[in-house]
Amino acid sequence: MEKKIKVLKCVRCDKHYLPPVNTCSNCEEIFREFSEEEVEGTGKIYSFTVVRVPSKHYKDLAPYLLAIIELEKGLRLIGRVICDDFSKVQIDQPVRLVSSKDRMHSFALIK
Amino acid sequence: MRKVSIIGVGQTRYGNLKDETLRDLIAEAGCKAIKEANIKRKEIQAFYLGNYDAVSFIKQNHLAPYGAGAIGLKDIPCIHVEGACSSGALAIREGIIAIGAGLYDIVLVVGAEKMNSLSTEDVTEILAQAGDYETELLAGATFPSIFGMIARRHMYQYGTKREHLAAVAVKNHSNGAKNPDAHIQKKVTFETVMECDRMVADPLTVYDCSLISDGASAVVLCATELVSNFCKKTIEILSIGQASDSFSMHLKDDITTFDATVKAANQAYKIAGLKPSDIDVAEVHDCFTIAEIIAIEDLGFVKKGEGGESSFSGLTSLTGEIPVNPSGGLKSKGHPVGATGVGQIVEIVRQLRDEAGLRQIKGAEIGLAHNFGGSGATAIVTILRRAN
Ligand SMILES: [Zn+2]
Repeated sequence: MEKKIKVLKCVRCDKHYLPPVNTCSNCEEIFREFSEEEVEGTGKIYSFTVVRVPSKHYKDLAPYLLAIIELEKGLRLIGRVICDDFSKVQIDQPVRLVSSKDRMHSFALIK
Repeated sequence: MRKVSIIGVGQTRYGNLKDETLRDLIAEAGCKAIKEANIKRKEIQAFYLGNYDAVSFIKQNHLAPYGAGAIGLKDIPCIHVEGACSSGALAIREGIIAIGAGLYDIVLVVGAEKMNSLSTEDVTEILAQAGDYETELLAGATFPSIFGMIARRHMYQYGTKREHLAAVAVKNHSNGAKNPDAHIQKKVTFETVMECDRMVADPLTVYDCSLISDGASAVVLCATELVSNFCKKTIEILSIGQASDSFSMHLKDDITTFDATVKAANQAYKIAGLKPSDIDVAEVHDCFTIAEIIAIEDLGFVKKGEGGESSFSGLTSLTGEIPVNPSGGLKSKGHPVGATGVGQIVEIVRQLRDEAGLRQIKGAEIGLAHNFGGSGATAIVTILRRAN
């Protein structure tokens, strides 16, 4: 279980990406050299939902709270927010990464 | 580019069609369209099939000749086009390009999908694959959950309410009740929708989601310069725009608008020399109620952020200023994904020919269809006009 998120930085223009990324869309010339960094995984909720009808892949997990998280460096990802009371969750609420496994990033609300 | 017209349309009923195979559906829609165009099969010079995922749904690949065989088309080029839920409109666009370029005079386009062969869980997984498998599906997203997040953000930014979403569902069910091809031909009351607690992906309930349907739709396209030889009620294709956006929804700057829709619409309006207020009737891609609210904003029928309130106030009803989804939309007519984009064109053609029965928009001359794939990575906007 990783507690940080791997990010890639364009060596030419410093724009950050979450993998997978193949070319920098910010650079006009085709550029595909990236350096690896890690971020702590703190951010805030951009939007959220509760998945009640899951795909087969996560059928044992539902219902779960799913959100688009805005991380540091302008990065956004889809992640799960682990919480007991879904009704307490709001847009803009701060969250931090608690685990990252098999492409599923899990966050907790920061009180 | 040569101009292109529609000389015949055909369609199966949409629904949970247990007794019919994909082959049966393609054959029924295709043959009806050929008959209506009053042409012989051998006059068709190419066949385009829009289908999303027969491989997963019914374990069939190499679909274009499979479909052509069902209709009894021989020897001609057969092309399968896939663009998730926009496969149908993409197939039509390829046919238009080929005729426009002078390659053919007459082509047949069929959109078809057989979805009710699997469990809801399996279908949910297959539909989620229209998004990014690595960053969306494996991250826990489903198709409804993506639109749940879009709805929540739209509510946050523009004050859109549950009542507004419900109004879209009520309207589309009311329209679908007047469409003999619709999957669900039953009205629902505003109270029923508002009181529904069967959440799929908050704030979306089952009433906000389109249906899992089987069905096929077909159109015969013909070079406009030749149409006088065929059908009496020709519909001209004035323009068809297509654009793309980020493949992953969370990489978009603003999830409450679909850039590809805006760009495809701008292309279509520009080529046709028309503006949003010139449109008499529209079929839009309401895979979820929130998607219709955003579509009427992105297509320029209302200002950004006013889609919810406008839907609630009746602007888009059959008798409103700009009737949207008279067929019942994906919500009530149904959403056999590969068929949907072609089915929208079938409805617009029927409206412009004054053949839409109880749901007819009086005097409709110019119609628009809006079809998109996945969470908006592909969008197509088509504008049609009744020929005089
Ligand atoms: Zn760069």
